[in-house]
Amino acid sequence: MPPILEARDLARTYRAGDGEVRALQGVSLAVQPGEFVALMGPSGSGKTTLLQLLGGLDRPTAGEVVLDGVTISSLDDDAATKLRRDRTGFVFQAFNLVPLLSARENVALPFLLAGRDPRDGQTAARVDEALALVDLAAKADRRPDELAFGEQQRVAIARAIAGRPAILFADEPTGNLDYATGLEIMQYLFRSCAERGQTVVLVTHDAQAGAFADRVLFLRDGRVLEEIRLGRRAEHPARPLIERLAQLGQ
Amino acid sequence: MGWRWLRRRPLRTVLTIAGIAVGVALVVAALSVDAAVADGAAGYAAALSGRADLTVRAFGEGTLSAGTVGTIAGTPGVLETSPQVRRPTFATVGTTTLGAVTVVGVDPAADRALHDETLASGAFLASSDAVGALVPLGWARAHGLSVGSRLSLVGAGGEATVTVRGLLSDAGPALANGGQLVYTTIGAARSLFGLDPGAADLVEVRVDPAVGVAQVETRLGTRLTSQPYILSTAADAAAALGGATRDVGSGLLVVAAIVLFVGALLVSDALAMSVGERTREVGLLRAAGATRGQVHRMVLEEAWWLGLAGTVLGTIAGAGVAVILASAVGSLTGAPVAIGVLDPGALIVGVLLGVLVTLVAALEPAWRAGRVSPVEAVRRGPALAAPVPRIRSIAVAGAVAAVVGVAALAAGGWAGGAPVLAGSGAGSTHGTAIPAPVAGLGGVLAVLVLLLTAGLVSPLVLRLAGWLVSVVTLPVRRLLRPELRLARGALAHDPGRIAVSLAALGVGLGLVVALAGVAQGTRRAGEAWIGDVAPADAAVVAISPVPVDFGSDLAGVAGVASVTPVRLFDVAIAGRLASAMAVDPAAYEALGALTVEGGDRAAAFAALQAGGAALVPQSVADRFGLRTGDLLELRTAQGEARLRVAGIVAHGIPGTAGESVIVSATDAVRSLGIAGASLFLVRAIPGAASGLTARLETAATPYAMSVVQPSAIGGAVTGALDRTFGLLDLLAVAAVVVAAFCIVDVLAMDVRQRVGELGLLRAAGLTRRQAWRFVVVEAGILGLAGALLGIVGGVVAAAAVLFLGGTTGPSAAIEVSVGAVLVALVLGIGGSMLAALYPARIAARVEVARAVRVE
Repeated sequence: MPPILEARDLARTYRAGDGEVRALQGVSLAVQPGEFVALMGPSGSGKTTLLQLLGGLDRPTAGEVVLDGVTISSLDDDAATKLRRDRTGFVFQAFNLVPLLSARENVALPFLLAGRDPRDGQTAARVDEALALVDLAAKADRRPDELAFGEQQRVAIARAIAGRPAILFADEPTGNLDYATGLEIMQYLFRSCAERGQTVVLVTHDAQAGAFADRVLFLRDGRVLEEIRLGRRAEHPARPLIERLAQLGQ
Repeated sequence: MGWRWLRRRPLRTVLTIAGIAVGVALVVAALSVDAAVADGAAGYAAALSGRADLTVRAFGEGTLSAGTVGTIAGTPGVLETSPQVRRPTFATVGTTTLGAVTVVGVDPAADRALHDETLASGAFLASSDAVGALVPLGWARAHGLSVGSRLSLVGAGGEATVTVRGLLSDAGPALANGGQLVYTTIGAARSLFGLDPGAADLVEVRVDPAVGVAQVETRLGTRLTSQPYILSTAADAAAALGGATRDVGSGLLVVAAIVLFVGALLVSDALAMSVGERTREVGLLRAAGATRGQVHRMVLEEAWWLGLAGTVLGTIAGAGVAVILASAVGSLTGAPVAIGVLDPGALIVGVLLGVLVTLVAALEPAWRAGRVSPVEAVRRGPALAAPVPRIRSIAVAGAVAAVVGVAALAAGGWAGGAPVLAGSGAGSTHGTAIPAPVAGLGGVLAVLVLLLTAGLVSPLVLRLAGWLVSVVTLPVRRLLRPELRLARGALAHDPGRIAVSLAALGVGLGLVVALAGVAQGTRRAGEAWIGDVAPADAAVVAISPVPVDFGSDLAGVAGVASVTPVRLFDVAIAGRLASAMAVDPAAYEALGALTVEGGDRAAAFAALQAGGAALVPQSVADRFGLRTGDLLELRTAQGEARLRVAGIVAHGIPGTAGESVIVSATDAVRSLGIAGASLFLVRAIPGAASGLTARLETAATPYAMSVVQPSAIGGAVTGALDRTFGLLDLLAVAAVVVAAFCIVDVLAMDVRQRVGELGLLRAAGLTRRQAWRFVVVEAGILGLAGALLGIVGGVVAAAAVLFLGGTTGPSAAIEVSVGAVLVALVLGIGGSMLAALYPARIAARVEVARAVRVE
């Protein structure tokens, strides 16, 4: 089966004052449909930059990204935006919800942005289904400030999967949460992958979270240092990953 | 520190300074125009008066007898006198009519003892010159006259031909009557108008400074008992001239004060946003040991810099605007205005108001900054800072408005009608046919009420506007769905945030609507009034009374159904100057004229026909405390009459001193010595009205009479009114511009504050174009809400002003000017969307990758 996401020789350089910062230097990877991949590494290793390039939020200085058969890195801003809207979902550490919209409206956001009526039968059904998956059907009409942080992240997951995207990108989704709530969020992400075959690419520096992945790519200094294959979560505990990360100096 | 904060947000700083500058500039300009008007009037009056301290004028159409002129000259303390005959007539050269002129008959020697006229060419008149004339240079040039030209003048004593001996420089007394003057010797003028030898229309008096004007006034009062007269000083003349423009000046001032007030809202809003943005920073300062007082001072320091910069710029700009406004006021009202005079008082008031208003507007934000808790601020951070209740800001701003309003009133010295003339024979009143354009106190109060209401109802209005926009955009719903939903959500999420901008926009647009409403109401009231007292298709006006028989000539004109002669004249009621009109009761009744208040119209006219009765307009009845059945004593120079008030009528034709008391022509001739007609009301045969004016002109022009629309009688409705309101409207637009600054500021800050949110939306699929449209649509909804507020508020304010100004009775409906409503909508929505272009650009340029990164 061809990979659903492929990156070839990705490089990203930022200007910083008079000099340059090489955030990524020749990263290549491939993600199979239904796979759960975690990008890990110390601060400044380039994992968030890589995720943003993979998701089409940013453009690489060199190399290319092919998402679901489309070279997203060569698209113009408008086309990239539409591709994001139709084939990806995002969950961030913060700024995940639009405060002026209810939980249901936040989940329906990709449909709204596509100009579809969120109350339309098929759209409404998908929104309800996504809310049910994160167990928030009962709180669908609350505004973000009326929800707990963990619940807000669950709404964000529901929004990211409601459009049945080809791939879901999550950038430190547990970064602002306590241990128990973080674990809960990871379980919801894992559920979407296990039950719906959702492809997930996760950025995290939390080994507990990373242990939910099938495969972990460990980055340092803008390069993939090591690939750790873990297999499905049900078949392995977190401990081996934690030990390996400790060896890598994480 | 405050200065550094300002530099960090250059756009907001520039907009705020510009807002204050516009307000200060208009206040300085309005005050300067007031001063220029006063200076111009005083200078003009001084030029007209020359060395004369007093003028004694004959009352009404009478003359001062030779005896009276002699008594004045012989009064102790009077150094010099110059008797004059001064009457309007028509001048012709051959068969060419030069139009209306005023013939000024003087004793050349006595006149030159009081005035320093200079000649552009030719020579002065000799006392014995019975056929010589002097004319002002400007008028002579306009009509191709030069020394040696011959003019024909028509007067009651016949026609006279005079030869131009000299051209007067256009200065001093030659400026009177728009320079349309013909100077002759007093003897020549007496024979032209058929006056007795020694008689005069007025006597200019120079008083011995050792005795004093007041003393001479008293002495004249005791000595001049045989004839009614009017005594005026140079200052009275200046006040009379200033009166015509004072209304415009005061209107300017009120509008300028409101613009400054909108500027104050902008300051308050900018500082509140600034404090909101820096909650974390202020918290850190507080944690590091800054006292509340120090935080207060930091915000006030920021306000101080803003106020100072705005005031300096505003004062400079105000000086420039003053020149433009002064010449505009001068050309609108035809009054002399000293253009280029910058009043130091105006500058001081402008500077003080600018700085003071800014500092007062900063009090609330400063107070709020002082209350920031170090723990809260550091914990929650700026992005999550709680929405701020802005209603309080509006209340504070309301207080600022009150201060500005009262200051404006005090500075403008608002008065409905200034006393003009003083004298023992006839008292002083200065009646205007139209009320002041904007009632000062009423205007400010109405704005205050509008503002407070605006703040309170803004969430509701925003929701309504959002809904309206959704309905209007129904056909493009699919295209704009996300933008509309997001914009409505953004506005509904925190209405307090934009309440101040909304209120500012509402006030600006309200001002536009209110001014249009007042103008329309005044115009309609004027039209209704004229329709009531002069229900005719045309009016033929005589420059001085003509025989009533002339009416039969007019009746012979094709298409004329009826001609009703009316004689307007001055009377004294209880020693005070008033206006009266004499009519043939039957003819006037047949025209359908007059509304008798709470009485029987037929009976009132029957009483008038029977004689010994008068119909009194409501305003005159109020002024003199008259009721139906009372006895009314009217005096003219030729006689007096005791008439019973047969009814109170809604209105009379506007005369020189207010609305006219209606008497029968028979009583006027018999008891008051008033004959002839000064205007003829002409009714056309139905269907024959077209071309009537031209046919009437053919009949009237040879007799030096002009044909006008009835609405032009008494100047009740004039183009000047429209132009004056046009000028004020222009200033109201300045308020909208300042409000637009407010909107740019709020939206720009909003976009910056919502960068994270925008980043998320962009990540979720919001295109750059959608982001741009989101902000523009939000502004459009805001603009529509502002326009709705402005329209409702403006109509209410206009109604309040008209009601306070007494233009309309309770029964009169306030009409909403469709044009003004459209202008408010276009200005509100268009202005807001225009103001949103820059913030929308920022929104469209948000870099997703950077926006979603956690700090």
